[in-house]
Amino acid sequence: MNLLALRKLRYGLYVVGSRRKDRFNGLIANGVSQVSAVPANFVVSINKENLTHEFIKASKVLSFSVLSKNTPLSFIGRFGFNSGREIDKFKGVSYKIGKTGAPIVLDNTLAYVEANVINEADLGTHTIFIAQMVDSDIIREGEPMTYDYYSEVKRGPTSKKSSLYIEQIAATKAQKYQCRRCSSIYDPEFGDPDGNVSPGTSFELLPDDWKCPICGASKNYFDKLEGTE
Amino acid sequence: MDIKTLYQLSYGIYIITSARGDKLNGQIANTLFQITSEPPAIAVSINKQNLTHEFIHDSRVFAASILSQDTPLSFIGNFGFKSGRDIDKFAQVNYKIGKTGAPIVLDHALGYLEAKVINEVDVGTHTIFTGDLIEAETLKSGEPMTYAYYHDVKRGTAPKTAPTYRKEEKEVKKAAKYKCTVCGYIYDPEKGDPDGGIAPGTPFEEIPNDWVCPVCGARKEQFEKIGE
Repeated sequence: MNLLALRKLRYGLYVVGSRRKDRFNGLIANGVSQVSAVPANFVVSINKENLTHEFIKASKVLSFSVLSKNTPLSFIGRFGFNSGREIDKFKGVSYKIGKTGAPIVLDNTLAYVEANVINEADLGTHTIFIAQMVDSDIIREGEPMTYDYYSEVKRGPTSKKSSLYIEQIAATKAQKYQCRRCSSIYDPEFGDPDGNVSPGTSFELLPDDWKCPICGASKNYFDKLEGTE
Repeated sequence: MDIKTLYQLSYGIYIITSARGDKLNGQIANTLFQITSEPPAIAVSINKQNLTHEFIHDSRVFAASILSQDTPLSFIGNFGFKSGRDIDKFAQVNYKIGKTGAPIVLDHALGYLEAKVINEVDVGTHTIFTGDLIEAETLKSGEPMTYAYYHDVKRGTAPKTAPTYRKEEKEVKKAAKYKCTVCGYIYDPEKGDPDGGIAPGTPFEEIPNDWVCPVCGARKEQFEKIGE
């Protein structure tokens, strides 16, 4: 069995939003897919440990925003590597309340769908929610972010709670550093384009006020990643 | 409500296969995804009208081949626009029988997955089959075909039974286009038919008479002109 075959599956990247009474929450998900055309039904796969899972269970409504390819890593970090139990993820974010009452994220969004949950299936660590579309709209033109672009080109990390999580492999020789907070990896070969650090810059040469592009942790949160050659 | 929203979702293109007794069948699907990592499990959405649906429902196993970006349209047409009730889709195809007994298509495949069904969820026109991953292999390196690439670059179409079927494949440009009455593929003179050796800029009228639809193999006279 070679689990790398699973890395050939293709997904988009979405912010899934929901509410419980007056509180909003959202997270980053890849397991969003249309499953029938008439009516337009979707599946959305969510880890049971996430607050958004509780909210969808309680309110039976959800939205998902299709993220643009240009979405900064920090925005994905805000929704993907923080918990709504600790922060208000919607603070400072542009959003609107949809027809279902679910919050819809508009920043970095190409299009959105909101839907009522009509069924769910227990899959162990995750639940898949089956949801029927209530409304949808296009916000702006652009290329959607895909999981492989996020992972391979932007070098974004995958949460341990994601269904796509595979033990990170540090395969190449360049000395990499890993963030203890969000497990994102600084790779000198790649630099940090979002933070204006050019490729080829070693970790030691990063300015002291440099921050993790995903979660905003300072430089001293990073540990040397031991090679696994 | 803007239905174009749905075109912004990203998918791959896969051949989903199964067996019943010694009969094999397979079809094209875009909705295949990993649902848990520990233990690894996957899900696939299949239209209830398809023969592959019957086979998966009865045998409780399925396999998925991950198609390469350079898969010819005719190959996709063989699995996606024909029914296993009429033809043997595996007659001209290179495949092997997997651990689960499901056939695994090897032509144009970058890798494959095999699963045992653990649950079925009814979602109206389709059923979602969830399954424990039994086997996974990579066969060659390369870019996987995505639905966007298939639709926008290869200009392939979706059958009426697909979850992503678009009612109107709207055409706005001036060149006279022709539509296949069997599968809905549109011949656009501006693009030609690279898979069939027809150069961009070739009007439909100048295509040789033995040319066939690159998706489903229909003959030239089964095309009709699309009005503005």
